[in-house]
Amino acid sequence: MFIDSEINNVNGLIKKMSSLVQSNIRQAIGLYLSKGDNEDTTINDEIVNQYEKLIDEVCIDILIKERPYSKDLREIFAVIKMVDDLERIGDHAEDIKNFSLKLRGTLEERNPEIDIMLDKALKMIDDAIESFVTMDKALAVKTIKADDEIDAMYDKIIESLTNYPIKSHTAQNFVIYTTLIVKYIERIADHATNIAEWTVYIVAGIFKDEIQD
Amino acid sequence: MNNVFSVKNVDLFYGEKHVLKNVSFDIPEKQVTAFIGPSGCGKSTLLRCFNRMNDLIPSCNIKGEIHFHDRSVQEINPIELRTRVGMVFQNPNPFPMSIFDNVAYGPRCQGMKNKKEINDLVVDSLKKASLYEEVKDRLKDNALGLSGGQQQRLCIARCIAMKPEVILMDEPTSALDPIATLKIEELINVLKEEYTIVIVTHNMQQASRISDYTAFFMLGEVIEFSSTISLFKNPKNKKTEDYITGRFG
Repeated sequence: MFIDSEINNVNGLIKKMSSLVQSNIRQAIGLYLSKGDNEDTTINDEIVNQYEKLIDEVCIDILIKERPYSKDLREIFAVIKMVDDLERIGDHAEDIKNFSLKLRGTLEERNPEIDIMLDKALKMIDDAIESFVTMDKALAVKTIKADDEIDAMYDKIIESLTNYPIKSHTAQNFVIYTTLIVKYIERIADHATNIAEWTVYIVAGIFKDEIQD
Repeated sequence: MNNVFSVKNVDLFYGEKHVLKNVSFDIPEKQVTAFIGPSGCGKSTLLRCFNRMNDLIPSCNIKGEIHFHDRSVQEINPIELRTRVGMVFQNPNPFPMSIFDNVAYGPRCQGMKNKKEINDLVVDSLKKASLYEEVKDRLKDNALGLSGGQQQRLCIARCIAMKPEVILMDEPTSALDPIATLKIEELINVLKEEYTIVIVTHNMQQASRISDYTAFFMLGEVIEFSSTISLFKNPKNKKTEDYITGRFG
């Protein structure tokens, strides 16, 4: 089937884009954990953006040539939505990198809850992408549920940041930049949730508000 | 929503050949219902049951029930049935007479004599078939001089002139070019406001574009019957999925 090879091609591009986004986000988080001191960070969001454009174009070509139905149609539609989420995760990697650089040299101690939240968010991205690659509905549903934990942690961390003692200009910057970074992590988890929801749509043909256990 | 036809446990045989197998579903009123499926799956055969066209085949044996509203089609006079359930075929088949006489033929056969009445009916039918503007200055010309697409719309006008409730269409655009096909499809979309339409088509894009409900046939069985959007977006049966995505066989 010609359409099979075309969809395989799109899935291959998604895997490459995902792998790049995963690498970028890990580097950005590494930079944050090193308080902006990691010199080896080479995040290139431009390539992620180029992948998004390429995948969109390939998907539109398939819609024109193949006029897909059923699962093929759902897959192409979902991929078009999904690349948008991947691209946004890429943007947030760039954002986290930029704000992490501003934390360089800070002596303020970060809330250990943030490290746990980072691990969970990274796992959500990995699981969401894995669920798409393997079309694993159960893993996708598990990823969607994990977002509640991230949201709860986000609320808790923000509350602790609002109570952080601001005794210096450095402390003030630390709170502002850390708040922004935590917000980006929370958004990244939202995008991972979206990817998992699109995977469920491809496999089962149901939208997010219809997903049950 | 009311149903025009109700098909219950229908089996049809051509001699020994089992062509339709335990088919059951309803045809909703003033909607377009498409029959899709591979060649020889029984879709045209069922269509022809609705106005008893299979009566003309001696070896045909039908079991089960097909109701037109509340009456079995077998209890209805075939002439009455075929007046109320018109049919358009794959190849345009105008009579070798004028455009006007083609449309007036059926009503005249049924005894209509008043010239003004006939004239009004012909004009109205041609307008409903989106053909009037193209032929109004040559109504006395031979219909065989029309293009294929125009001939097919003339056949639809001829059908409409009998004031049917249902129009059966057996691959009505398979012999037409894309422009003529589009005109027929647009016409079907308008006609469904007034008529129930059942169409057999091999063209999946056509079924998904113009129909409200779709039945997928395979080897004489109705594998799936549902709203067209649902069937093409998220079919329930693997066989339907394989067929509409081109993976059948």
